Amino acid sequence: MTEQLDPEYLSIRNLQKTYPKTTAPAVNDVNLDVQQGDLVALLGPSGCGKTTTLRMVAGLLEPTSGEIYVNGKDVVSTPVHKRGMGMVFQSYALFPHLTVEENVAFGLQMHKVPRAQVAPRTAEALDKVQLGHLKARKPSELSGGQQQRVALARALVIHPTLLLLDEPLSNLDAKLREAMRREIRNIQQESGTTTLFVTHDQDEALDMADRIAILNNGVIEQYDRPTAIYESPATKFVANFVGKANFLEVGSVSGGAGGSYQVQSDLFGSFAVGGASGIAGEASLVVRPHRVSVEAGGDRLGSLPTARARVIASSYTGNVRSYDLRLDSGQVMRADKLSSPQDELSIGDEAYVSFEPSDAHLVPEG
Amino acid sequence: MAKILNRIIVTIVYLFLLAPIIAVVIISFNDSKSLAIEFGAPSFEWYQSILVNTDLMDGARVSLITAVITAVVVLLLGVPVALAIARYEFPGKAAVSGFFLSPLLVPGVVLGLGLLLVFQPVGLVGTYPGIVLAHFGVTVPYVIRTTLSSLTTSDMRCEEAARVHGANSFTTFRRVTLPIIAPGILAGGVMAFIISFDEAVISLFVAGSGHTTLPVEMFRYLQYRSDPGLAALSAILIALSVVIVLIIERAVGLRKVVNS
Amino acid sequence: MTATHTNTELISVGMKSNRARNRSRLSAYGLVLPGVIGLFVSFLVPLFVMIRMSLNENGSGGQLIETFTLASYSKALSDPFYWEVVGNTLMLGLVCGLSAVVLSYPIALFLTRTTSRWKGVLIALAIAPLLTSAVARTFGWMAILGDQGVINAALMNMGLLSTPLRLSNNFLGTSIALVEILMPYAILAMISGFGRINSSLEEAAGSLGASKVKVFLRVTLPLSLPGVFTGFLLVFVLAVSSFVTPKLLGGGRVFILATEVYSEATQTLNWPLASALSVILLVVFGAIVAVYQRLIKRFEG
Repeated sequence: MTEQLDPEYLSIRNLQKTYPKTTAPAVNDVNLDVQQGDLVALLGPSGCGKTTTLRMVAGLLEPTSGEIYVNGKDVVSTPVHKRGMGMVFQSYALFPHLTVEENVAFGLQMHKVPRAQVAPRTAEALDKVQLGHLKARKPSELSGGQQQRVALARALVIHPTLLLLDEPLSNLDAKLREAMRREIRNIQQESGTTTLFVTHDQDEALDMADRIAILNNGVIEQYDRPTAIYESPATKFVANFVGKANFLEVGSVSGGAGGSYQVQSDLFGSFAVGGASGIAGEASLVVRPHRVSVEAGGDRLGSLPTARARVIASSYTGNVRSYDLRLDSGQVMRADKLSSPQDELSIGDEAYVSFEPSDAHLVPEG
Repeated sequence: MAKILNRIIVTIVYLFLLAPIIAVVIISFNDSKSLAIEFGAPSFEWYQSILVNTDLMDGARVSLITAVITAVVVLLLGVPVALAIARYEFPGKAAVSGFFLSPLLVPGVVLGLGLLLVFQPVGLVGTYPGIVLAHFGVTVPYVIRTTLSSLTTSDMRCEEAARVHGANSFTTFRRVTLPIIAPGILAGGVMAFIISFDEAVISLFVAGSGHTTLPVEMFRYLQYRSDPGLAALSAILIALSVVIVLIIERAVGLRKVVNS
Repeated sequence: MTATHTNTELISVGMKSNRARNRSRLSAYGLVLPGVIGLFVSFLVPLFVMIRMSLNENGSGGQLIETFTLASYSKALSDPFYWEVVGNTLMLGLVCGLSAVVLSYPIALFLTRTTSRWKGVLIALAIAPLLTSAVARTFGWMAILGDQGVINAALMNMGLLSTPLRLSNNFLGTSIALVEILMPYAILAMISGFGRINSSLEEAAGSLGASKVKVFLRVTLPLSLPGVFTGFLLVFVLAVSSFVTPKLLGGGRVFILATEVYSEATQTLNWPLASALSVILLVVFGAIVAVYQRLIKRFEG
């Protein structure tokens, strides 16, 4: 980690979980520091250990080893119901036999909040998610989005030490999902609740999180701000999982001081790029498709790394035109251009691809 | 054509299935001792004779009391077992769930004889505790089955949500799990009640000569007489079970209870 | 952080985890224990006492002699009467199982396929007999099949008969009543087994030019066989262990294992023999269930 974080509100240390009757750990030596008030996304493919991590923080799962500090106190031995956390489940898990109001009041009653405060705090929480008028309904009488907001109100009303969100948006349709992202983010920032958010959707993570932890096979591959995750991926996995990426083979790599390397490529020539620290030996160059320039025929473009290619496929999605281009080396590169009716390339056309070295990023191979 | 033939066959089989019930109801209104179907004005003579038959009425009282106690005891002991099987991991779990279904694999006469052999020396024959204990084994599988099916189909995340939001295990059970699985428990309790109320074979062994259950009294009555009196009683029992079926249907849906 | 420090921490966390697991196991056992004790007393102990009793001897004066002997078994197995009883028992199971399956098949298929809004009511009607007293239903059949019962009275009134048909107090009457009483089980088993029959499969076969009979024989029937099989064995097993109906409708002339156990236990008071017959019934029962599980595995595997 390049940056010193303080004060760490949530600290996860060497967290490990191996399920009974399995050998490979589901979560392997996870370390994570979260600043107070931040929203951190645990992002990764299914089975990467993100939900297992969240459930251990909640206390629903016992870690095999490791510590979880909340506000400086190790909570691993604290039973679930005494951790004072709030959680929103993928299925919302609203109590079907209770009304909306009773659902939200549940946590307050459990935490022995004085009776006189329960009703006003419940009402306040419901107003915050704009559901005050539905407080007498049963969960089954609500739409998916409304249930989601009740679940959020139920989790936040107790002023939780930590808010845990387990894929809260995945059961909603696409339009609603985007609106809910904003709403959750606003409510979270307004209340200043430190939040851990599990998702497999990179857009959600990039849009909502202060920091993102990318998990793969039970290990955190990278933990950083969204822009850093996207612009400076630490590994090939991260570059591939978050956003689209071209991986260019490079011949030789030298340097490395201050994260700056000199690379030598047969096709693109020699140039300087930034990269993940400590790369020695095999490496790939990550270039995002929309940062690749394509010029029909023409001359090589000035000093930029440029190579000749042939268009082998093209697709159109309205605002973007994507080309698949085969380089002389046989490797296929993708380029996304904002579409315009004037300069369209046809399959079989010859073209030159180029990119700004500052748009490229070096990651270790494998 | 094939469709009509199919309809006819289905109707005939339904008639066969409902024949004894229909026959019993019609015969119960006969005004002679005949068991044939009579086409006269309905008579309530046999209903009156049944209601003053002390053996049968005592039997009904005994059956009602045992069935209620059995249902309560079986729920108190069976629901926790279902809870442990559905929500906990522990060594011997498979053995425990197999054990609680095994009474269904033993014929009633075999279990009845075994219970008689155990009860005779300790004086439990013909007592309420004896009959309740005897009915425990044959009713507990149903309670566990209906409760288990409620537990496994309910969203376990609700219980997790309760715990995360501050409820300890007991409160979670009382405030969340129990209300959610209540219909399944109710259905199991009603099943236990009906099975205990109708159970004849095991009761025949352990009922003794004193106060006995209604099915045993009916069995004894039938061994020496057959007149429309028993039809009247059977018609009452059928009406009662229709009411109970309707209650279950309202509460949980019949298929859920019988299927699994 | 030194290596030793990390190690002790690992151990302490491991212990914490163990303690939690033990606590959870303890509460599971606490939940299970009362029920296990109840079932132990009301089920397991009686079975063991009965098996033990089968090894005792019945003295010549009818007194019970505590011993370890297979005398009751050899008595039962050397007497041709009891072989006939076992034969009757299996025959009753077979006849009831086959008849119940044949009669239930059209109903189950109909209930699986129908889209009628009466479906719920029709299903309830088919299985409602399960919830009415078996004694009451047996009585219903006594009234229908008896010498002065519904059928014979009607036929004699019409002058078609001078002496009643022998429909009760025999194997035939017992079988008819038992089939009806046990059919709901077969219907239920078939309905759940027929879940795999997909009407689109049948339509596909039809659209490929198969006739209705062919569709039934080549598609519907094979797919429904596991459900049929389960239904058959369920009825078989329940018929083999039935008692009330054979006793009442058999009128003392139908001898199966269950009726013999009862009469030895309550009339002759030969408990060792009654117990030995019970063990034989259990063995027959267990063998059927074992064969069933073998076959079902082969069916599905």
